[in-house]
Amino acid sequence: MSEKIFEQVMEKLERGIETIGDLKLTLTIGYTSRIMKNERLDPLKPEFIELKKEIVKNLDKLVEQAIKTLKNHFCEVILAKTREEALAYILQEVEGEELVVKSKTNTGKEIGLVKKLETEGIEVIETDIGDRIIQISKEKPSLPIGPAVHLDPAYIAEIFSKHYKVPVKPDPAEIVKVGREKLREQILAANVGITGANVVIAEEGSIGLIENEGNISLITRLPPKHIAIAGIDKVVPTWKDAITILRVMEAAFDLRGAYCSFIKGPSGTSDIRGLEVLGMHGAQEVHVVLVDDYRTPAREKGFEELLFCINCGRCFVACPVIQHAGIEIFLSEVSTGPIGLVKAALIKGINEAVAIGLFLCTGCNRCKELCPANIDIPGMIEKLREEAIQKGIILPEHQKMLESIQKFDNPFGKEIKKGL
Amino acid sequence: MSLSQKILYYVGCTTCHLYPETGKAMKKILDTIGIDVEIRDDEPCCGGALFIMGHIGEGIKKVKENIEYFKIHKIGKIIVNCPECYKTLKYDYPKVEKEFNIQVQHSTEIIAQAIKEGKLSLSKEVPLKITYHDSCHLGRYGGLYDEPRFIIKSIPGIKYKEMEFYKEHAVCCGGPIREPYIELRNQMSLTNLDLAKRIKHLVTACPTCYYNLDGVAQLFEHKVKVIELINLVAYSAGLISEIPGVELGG
Ligand code: SF4
Ligand code: SF4
Repeated sequence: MSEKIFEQVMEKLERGIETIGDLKLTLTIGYTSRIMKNERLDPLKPEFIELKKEIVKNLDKLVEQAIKTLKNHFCEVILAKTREEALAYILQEVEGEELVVKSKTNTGKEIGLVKKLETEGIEVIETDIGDRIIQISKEKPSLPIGPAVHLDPAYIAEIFSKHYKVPVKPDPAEIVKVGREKLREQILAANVGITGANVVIAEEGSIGLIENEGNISLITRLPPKHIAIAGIDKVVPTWKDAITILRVMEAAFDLRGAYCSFIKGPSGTSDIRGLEVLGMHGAQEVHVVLVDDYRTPAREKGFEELLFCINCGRCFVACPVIQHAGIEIFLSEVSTGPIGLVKAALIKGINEAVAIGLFLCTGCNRCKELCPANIDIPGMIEKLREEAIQKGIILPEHQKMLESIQKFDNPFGKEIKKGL
Repeated sequence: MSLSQKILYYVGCTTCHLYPETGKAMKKILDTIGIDVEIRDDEPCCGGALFIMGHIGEGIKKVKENIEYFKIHKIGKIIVNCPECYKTLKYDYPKVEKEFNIQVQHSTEIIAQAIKEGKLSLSKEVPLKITYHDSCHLGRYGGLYDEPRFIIKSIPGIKYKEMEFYKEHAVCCGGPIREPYIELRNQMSLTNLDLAKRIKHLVTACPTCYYNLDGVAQLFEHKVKVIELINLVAYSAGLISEIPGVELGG
């Protein structure tokens, strides 16, 4: 069985190297230069890492507190132990709907939300323009925060034109205009908006979302029901801590987050005789789905650093294997990039991790170096390789090297002269 | 380190097997500096490859055996020129056995210090444009970014220039996945060679990086020449008469 997986990996690799073409330059030089020397991020790192450590240490208490405070603010909150529980809750909340609009949510991706809703016959519209392009084109996503950046504008114009049946010029502003008009109609038509949450503030009973496009602002306000999905690792103690995290997110790609929404439950007014009515301009119902799933097992497995991840995608950009062999490496249905490889191993199992390239990592440590939280991804990859080996999944070349070290005390497969 | 203890020059499998001349040049450098070392022909493999492959249990076993070996042979300090050995001995061994306290130094640390103390004089000119490839193990794992640069810049005649990605941001040569992913290795090494294209001479302080970068340069008839730092130093110190792979043209 292990032979077959390795054959698949080899095919993926060969295909990637052969087809990467110009993308190689964009990946190696383009994005990399942009994020490498990052004067905004570096000074924020120590405080951020300390905060993350504190959070993971006190996570259970923080989650408990967040649930209480959010409920005080009229949010419906559920702590889903597994992705199935999270999905079941969301399904129940969207029952009877034909259309749902959503923004990017890594946790949603991790639990397989879109696929599930679609199999239930619900149309799901991605409202981040990049995600919408991927959704329509059915292309493979690249950069986590810019999944369509690798696609040619002419190609995007063509697929938009075909999909929306209107002429679209291959110009970014034109593409965006068509996308905006169509998406706005759908946002207005939908009764449910689904988002992620970048932070969940335990002390305040509030969730925070940062964005550039404005779609999150719209889908958290216009549809009557807002469902926010977040991993339990997104809980932070205080306002100040939330700001620390949001600043790191902005700095990670040297971006300008145009909008920041802090949502403390449904919109409302008490203007009529002081009687509280929920649902004025914004959502009438706010649901917060906190997902544990792989997180507690990860902590038990010594992978607690996984919970430091803010999904910034810097490790994706850092990875020379992706740069040279393309965006399919480490890509699974649930995640992408080096950290995505580790998450996929926990969510989908070790076989999946091997199939997407567990043994392609060179251990170069560039991902760790560039990660805002210095997550030891290569260290986790070594441990996952051990797990694969224990299940009998081993590269024949590695088997040979192991035997060589055991037999000849060197990796060269024969007796060699030691010393000089 | 007590008086009865010895300094081991731990040559490493790659240098022993593929580049013994580099090892000998390093020994000459150590002699010149005045560091008395022992070299052993039963030197064990450091076990670094075991950890990378995921044979962590086997790796731990190997580390324990080797620690015993160092004890038996009264080793008080280890000098290595292989960055993988460096990373493994210096950072992984203490993780396995907390009391492992043998000092581990990389050749670049020894050489840089000797230059500063006036114990090694690099006087022969090397009129070349040179850039430096940071090995992942030496740089990102070991934090030794400045020593090799200081050494290169100490050699008269050299015009030094950085590549587009260097130090923490250097691109891996692809060596560790060479077997079986040779094509990926080729592409990663080629990127490094291409980044050095205008500078023409790429120096490395790692035998594995050298093996991959030089091998790929030859395979693709790339015009960049790859140079082992030890050879560059030995040449400038007058210890060897030419730098392998480079024609200085009289
Ligand atoms: S350590 Fe592995 S996953 Fe991380 S950047 Fe290097 S090759 Fe990619
Ligand atoms: S592992 Fe680090 S670099 Fe990668 S997405 Fe998470 S926070 Fe960003």
